[in-house]
Amino acid sequence: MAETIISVRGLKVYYYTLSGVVRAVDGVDLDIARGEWVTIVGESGSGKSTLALSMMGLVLPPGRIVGGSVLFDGVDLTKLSGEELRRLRGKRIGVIFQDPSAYLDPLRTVGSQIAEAVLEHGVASSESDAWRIAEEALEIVGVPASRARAYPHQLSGGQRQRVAIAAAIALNPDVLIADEPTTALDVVVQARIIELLKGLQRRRGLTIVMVTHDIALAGEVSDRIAVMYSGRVVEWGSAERVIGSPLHPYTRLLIDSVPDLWSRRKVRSIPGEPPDPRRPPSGCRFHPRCPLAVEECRSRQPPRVSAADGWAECFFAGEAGGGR
Amino acid sequence: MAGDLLVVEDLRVYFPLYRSLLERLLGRPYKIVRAVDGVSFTLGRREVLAVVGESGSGKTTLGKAILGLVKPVSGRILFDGVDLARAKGGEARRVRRRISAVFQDPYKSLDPLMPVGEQVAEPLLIHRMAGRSEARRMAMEMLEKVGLTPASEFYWRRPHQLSGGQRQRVAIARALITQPDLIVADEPVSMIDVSLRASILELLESARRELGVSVILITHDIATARVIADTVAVMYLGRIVEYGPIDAVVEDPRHPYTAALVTSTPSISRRRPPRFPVKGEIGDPANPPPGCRFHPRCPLALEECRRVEPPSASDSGRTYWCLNPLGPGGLWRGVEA
Repeated sequence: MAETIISVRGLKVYYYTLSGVVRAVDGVDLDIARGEWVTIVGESGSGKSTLALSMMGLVLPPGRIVGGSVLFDGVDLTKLSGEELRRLRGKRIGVIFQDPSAYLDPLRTVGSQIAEAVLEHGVASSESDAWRIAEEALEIVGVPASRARAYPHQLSGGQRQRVAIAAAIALNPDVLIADEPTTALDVVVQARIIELLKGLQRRRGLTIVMVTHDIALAGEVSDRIAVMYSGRVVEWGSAERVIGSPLHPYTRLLIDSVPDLWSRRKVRSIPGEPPDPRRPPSGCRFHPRCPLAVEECRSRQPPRVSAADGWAECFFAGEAGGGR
Repeated sequence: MAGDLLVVEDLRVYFPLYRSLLERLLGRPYKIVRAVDGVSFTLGRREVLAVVGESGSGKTTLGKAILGLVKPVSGRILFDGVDLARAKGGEARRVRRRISAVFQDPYKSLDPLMPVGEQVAEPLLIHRMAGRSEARRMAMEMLEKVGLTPASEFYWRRPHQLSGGQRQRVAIARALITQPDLIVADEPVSMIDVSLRASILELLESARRELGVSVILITHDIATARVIADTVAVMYLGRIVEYGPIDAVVEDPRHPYTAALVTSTPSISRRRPPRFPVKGEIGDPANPPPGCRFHPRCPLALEECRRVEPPSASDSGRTYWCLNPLGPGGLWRGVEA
């Protein structure tokens, strides 16, 4: 496997809210290789966004990293100052979110916003250089350079997301964190944005960490998938294996619960409800919903059972009818 | 047809677009959004029809028109023979209570302060279909039916004490309590946790099976639609572009937009057709393209698609509006970008 670019070790990120401590990320280990596409899949409240954003040291109050480390290219982000993090972000780790209009300035042209970031991070030395880089970045993402003089509201939702991607890649980062980047878009536009990201990964060697609740989308585009449940990565491995023969009962049941347009299998909900992250169940956090759960699952954190390409945290990993 | 519960004929719903003060002072004319612009279909008893389209397609406005929440500018909505747009007074009320709604966000559609059981019982009181104690008994029964057991406990809970999935069950119980003939469900699972969506769809399916209800399922996700729908209407910029049995429309569509929609939907299945290439994004419903509204994005567009509104054509049970449709099996052979 290629060189590791992000290494997460024993990471714990908790939110200290008035109604209790939310253990959004509660003991996660992951190694992400340079140039690969990793997707973190989970339901709302699983901690998937918190995990992805903490990989760029972005943890907003009342959240705090309470344990573990995030090594980015050998540097522990949890030890850096705010200023050091700011320099790293953008320049080496870019980010795009679900709603690009939330962070594009509505009063300035998209080109000038990209050019400003380019100048600030020292990627260009003059304004005209910065503007040229902004236009190039727009062309790369399929927005005509002439649109650099457009304001965000003059663009469609898909184009705004392209602009956000252009702003991220103009700084030529190693890693792009994409937090539900297509959730607000229609499915036809989604497919084209994903194609664009896939091209950037392949042609520029960009490492992509995407967050989504859509396991089918994850299966289509990723090299590797991390399945999150209640603050823990319960399964990790190659996309093909995780989708094709999941080791963890949650992964398997999640796949079975989602309608798939091209297979006529019956969908079944997972019994019970996702847990309250302020009061996660003891032992294996999935045990109250798991058809395989035994006494041990209630009391003990399950071991990490290895597979050739990853692992699953389950006493019965692999016995859950893995071969689908 | 005698067996049809709902007949929609050439329905048009237009909205005036907001004008700024300056535009008003200058006497600029209203811009009109043609949200629904000439839609016709029929719905049988016990039929589940999915209305599928992206945002801006008019699918939600169509649902609202059927629910009487927006007024059409022209066309007819015949429910069991009564024209909903023209019915008045007692007749209107009698017909309306046979149509129920389920919305996307069960938190917004429920009263935060009222016990959920009372909210399930409320429509019976509003429509004077039962007295207070009778309504309470029926609401308990309905809570059991939608899986909120023990009902005697759930009855007194407030919405914030329930999960999203449970709240949507309450909304469905409230919709079913009046024994409607039709439920219009607008994105009923979009805000529900992924792992629980199937059970909400199953609930709508059992309402059809056990209570004989017809369902109009409005959704952006054609994979969700395929779980419970018999027929599908694919909408694009205010028009239905293809309509027919959902298996036929998904597996072997005629309209290029349907082809784009089904091949863009993420799937983990090995058996799937190649991506159908389209350009750009859905146009502005206030300013739809002339001719076929899909032509600017369509890889199969002909010169005349820019000028001519495509007439309807039929082929083995499905109807489509396209001058240069895919042939049988065309989806699986693919198209060059």
